[in-house]
Amino acid sequence: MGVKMTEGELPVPIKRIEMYFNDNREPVKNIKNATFKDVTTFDDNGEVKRHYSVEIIDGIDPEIGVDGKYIPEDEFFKENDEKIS
Amino acid sequence: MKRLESRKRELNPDQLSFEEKYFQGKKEQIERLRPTIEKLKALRDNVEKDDVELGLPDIPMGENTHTKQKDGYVYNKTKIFVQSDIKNDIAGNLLQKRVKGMWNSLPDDVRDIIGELKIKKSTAKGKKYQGGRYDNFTKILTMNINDATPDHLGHNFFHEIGHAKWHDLQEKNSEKVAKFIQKQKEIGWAPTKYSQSYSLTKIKNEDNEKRYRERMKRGGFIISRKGEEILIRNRKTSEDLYQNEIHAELNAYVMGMIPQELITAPKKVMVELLDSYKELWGLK
Repeated sequence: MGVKMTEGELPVPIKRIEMYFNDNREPVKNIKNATFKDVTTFDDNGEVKRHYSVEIIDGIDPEIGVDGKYIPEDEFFKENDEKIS
Repeated sequence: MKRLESRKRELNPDQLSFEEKYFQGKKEQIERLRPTIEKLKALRDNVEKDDVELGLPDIPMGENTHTKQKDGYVYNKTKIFVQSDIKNDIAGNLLQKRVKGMWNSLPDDVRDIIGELKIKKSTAKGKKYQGGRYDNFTKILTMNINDATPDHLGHNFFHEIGHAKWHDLQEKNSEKVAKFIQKQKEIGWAPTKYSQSYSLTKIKNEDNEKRYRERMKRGGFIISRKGEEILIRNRKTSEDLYQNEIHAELNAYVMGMIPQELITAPKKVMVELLDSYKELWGLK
């Protein structure tokens, strides 16, 4: 059975693309076989906002919280830096 | 500066002697880092031989003349931040020095793209680590380092640098980028499995668009102008990302960070890909 669509429903804009890889930098489908993932996020105009990579260890995606939801980017990337130049 | 010189600078003897001293440190951390240090030493010892075996054309990387330094980091306009936790941790400090070696090997014009370089130890606890990050709006390059996964450091760094260069050129000369994309389409290969995998995002998007159109047709709906705009934007987004990743891998090769075993394009194709990279950056 297909997805029911209502009039005026818009296609979903791409806001985020994730790819999982192993240590040989080969793409893997199952997170359990992944050692890192690369994420690209996009703004409302489809322009790249951020590129980043995240280590996946023992099949755990650190961006996903205990409730199974993505941790907001700002929270995920907390800053605590010392200026040197 | 050429790739080989860059590689030598990154694997500089001073840095490795620091690592050797580190072997006299804590036993647990030594064992964890030993394979990486051995690998670095092998790379350093074979850097010229490996480069010859790669058998690909060398590409000049541009002038590297910046002289301002703070804590050994060469800079011009970039603000550099190193988290104090890293300096206080011997393993973190070791990896921070690797980033420093890579950063200092960059050509001037590439270094100047980066508004801020932040080197941090992952704040996540336990088995949760972050890698590199480039923010295209703020021009901040963040390297999150962790001694449990040191092998990814070089890849993360030059990968993010490649993205920074790509976006910078898109802002300054989008026609050049469009020409590069067209050339890549003609060649029809990505240099590595990694970059090739991003063709899947294109395929997935094409599939999503097809299913959306079919559902609209089945429901008897007409796709609105806004809907068509989103579909066009999605197509461009997925195509551009694929090409962006191809460029990032070529960039990593030119800067000396792609081992031969990761190059999947045949040598003849790789030369064509590198020719288009050279054309993009006005290199001879």
